[in-house]
Amino acid sequence: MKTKTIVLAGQPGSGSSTLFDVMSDISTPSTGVTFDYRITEMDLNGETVRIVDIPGIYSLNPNDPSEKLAVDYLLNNEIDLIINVVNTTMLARSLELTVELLEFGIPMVVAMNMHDEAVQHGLKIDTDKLNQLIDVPVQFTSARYGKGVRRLADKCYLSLMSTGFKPKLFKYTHHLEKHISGIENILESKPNIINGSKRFIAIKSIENPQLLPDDIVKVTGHLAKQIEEELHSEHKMDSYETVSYERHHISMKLSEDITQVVKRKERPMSEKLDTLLLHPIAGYFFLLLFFGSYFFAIFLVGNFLTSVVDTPIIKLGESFSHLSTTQPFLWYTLNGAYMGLSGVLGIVLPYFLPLVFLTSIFEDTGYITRIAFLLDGIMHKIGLHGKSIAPFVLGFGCSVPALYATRMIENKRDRMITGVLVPFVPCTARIAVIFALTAAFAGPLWAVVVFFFVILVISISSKIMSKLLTKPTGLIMDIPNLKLPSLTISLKRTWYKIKEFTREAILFLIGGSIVLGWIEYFDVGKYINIIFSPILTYFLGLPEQLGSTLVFGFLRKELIIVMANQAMGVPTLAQLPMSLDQIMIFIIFVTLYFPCLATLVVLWKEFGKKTAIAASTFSVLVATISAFLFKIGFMIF
Amino acid sequence: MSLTEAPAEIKLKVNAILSGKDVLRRLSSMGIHIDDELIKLNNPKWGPVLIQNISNGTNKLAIGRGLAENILVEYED
Repeated sequence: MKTKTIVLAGQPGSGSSTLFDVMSDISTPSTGVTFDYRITEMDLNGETVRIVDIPGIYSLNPNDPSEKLAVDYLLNNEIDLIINVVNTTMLARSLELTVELLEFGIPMVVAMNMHDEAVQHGLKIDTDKLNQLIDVPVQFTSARYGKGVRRLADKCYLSLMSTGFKPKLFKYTHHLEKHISGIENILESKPNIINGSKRFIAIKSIENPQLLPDDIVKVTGHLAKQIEEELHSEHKMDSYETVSYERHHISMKLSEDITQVVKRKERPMSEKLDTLLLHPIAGYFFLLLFFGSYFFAIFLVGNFLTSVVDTPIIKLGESFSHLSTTQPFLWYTLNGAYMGLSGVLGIVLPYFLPLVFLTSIFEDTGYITRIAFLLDGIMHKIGLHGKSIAPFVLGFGCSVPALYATRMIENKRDRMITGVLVPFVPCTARIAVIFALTAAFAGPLWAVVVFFFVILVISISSKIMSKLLTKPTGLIMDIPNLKLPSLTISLKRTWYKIKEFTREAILFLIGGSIVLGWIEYFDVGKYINIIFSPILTYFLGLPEQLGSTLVFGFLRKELIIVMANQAMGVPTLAQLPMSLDQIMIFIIFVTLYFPCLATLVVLWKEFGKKTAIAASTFSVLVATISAFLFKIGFMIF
Repeated sequence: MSLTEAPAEIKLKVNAILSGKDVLRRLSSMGIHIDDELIKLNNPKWGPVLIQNISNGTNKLAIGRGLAENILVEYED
């Protein structure tokens, strides 16, 4: 039997991704916010169904690349059921999408999510009444706590089993209905090129014909143009505005009919805290406190975990040291594998673990939009606006999801500048490099210097790029209510990410380290080192042997620390025969030079070949100049 | 008066939005329409304006200063 497909569709911040995580029990990676499709399978009363999570959409008229991706999915894929995830705390606005999805005509179940929050804010919602008004199953959920999800799944199952979806369709005002019928009449039968009922296609022909394939526009375009002119001359509004306003009034009416505002005993704690977090002075204090404790916690936990695993790792290394003289090739191979393993367990994982966990907790709270709000003014000074902050902050985790996150920036220019600059933000792997090297040589203060320098590099580069391009548009951003993060969901996400990372990294790191061991055995490294020596040795004054580590850094940035040990022939980082100046110059260079393979692929996919090549070349240039400036700085002071 | 000039913590009504089609569409999809009732939550000298659209629900919306200058509001009785 064919596997049925259920799609989760909701406005940004409706909690559809959390609902997906709960329904699928976290079997696919999640960053909390979806910028791409996520697909999983689940067992629904004995039947296997496919669940698809698409990016958040305000309406079926996409405004940015992320919404376009979601609407494309809805229009062009076989879908058996839509779960419309509604943010109950933003009912009137959320129901606009519900009304549009009813017109779309695919069987639907409504999940009234964040019900707990709505109650906290004094909203009493009558779901039975909504069910009567739209004739579609409705279920309260609080996805974060898994509440109502079982009942929602039951309602989905019943809907999938039943046939003949006949929801209540809301009528627009007379003059608009007349035009919709007119287009429905010329469409004859429902076009099969895309999903959507005949009524939906007729409405879109008037409201937003760009969404429809040419074959449909050829039929409806002439009449739609006449309607546009008529609406403009009679109401001084374009078709898009007219339909959007009418839909808005329908959803306002629906919301009023089912909502009762009850008197709250007192303001919720989250609101009081939010006043402080968004305060024009206190807000910045909390921001500094947040970033300070965030990085300090990672540093502290990372250091502790490193010290725990250090002894067993050293013992493991000693167990085969006798082979170095008797069977050198075997020793180089084993030692390569050992260096890779010790890199994963001893250096990368200890920092990765707290970083992933804290980032997940932090994303869940909704604080990221508060940061964007507070920094919007500063971002304007460097030619961007607050929305670019989210990809930059996510970049501390990994550049790949951060590049996907740029899709929420609707303006092309801002999106491109942010996309080019995101790879400069040190990701987990590079933070591990920075922390591990500074911890071994200089202390946490030097790590702070690196972070401030990166911010400076991003600011200057952004300012230069924005001067060359046209003026940015302003900020319009949702600030969702603050939420208490779910420990269970964060732990599950951390476990999943660690598993995923270990599976990918072990192959790369151990494989890469063995290859480097062989490079050393066969003495090939010197040729690679010669290629890099003009920049590394002559320009930056670093040991020539580090050249080959840069090649492996292109595969995965964390390979650099493991390979540095290997290339210089020392068992621990602290024994690297380098001075503090050289270590800092090296850190700056590897933090900024060339994006890793995965980032380069996503840059290429998201922004095109030209931008990817230009961004990579630009990064090498910036890395060389920055490292050179540090060299000069050390020479002077 | 424009949204930037309007006082905070008072119920306001959107009178007009003086901007291009794209911005108008974006604002409308994010829940800001003419005749909506809103409360301005801050009164900053610089940086974005924070509002709560009480016609819609409990979430807040940040609107860049330049845009906020083009949103005209009046006091709501």
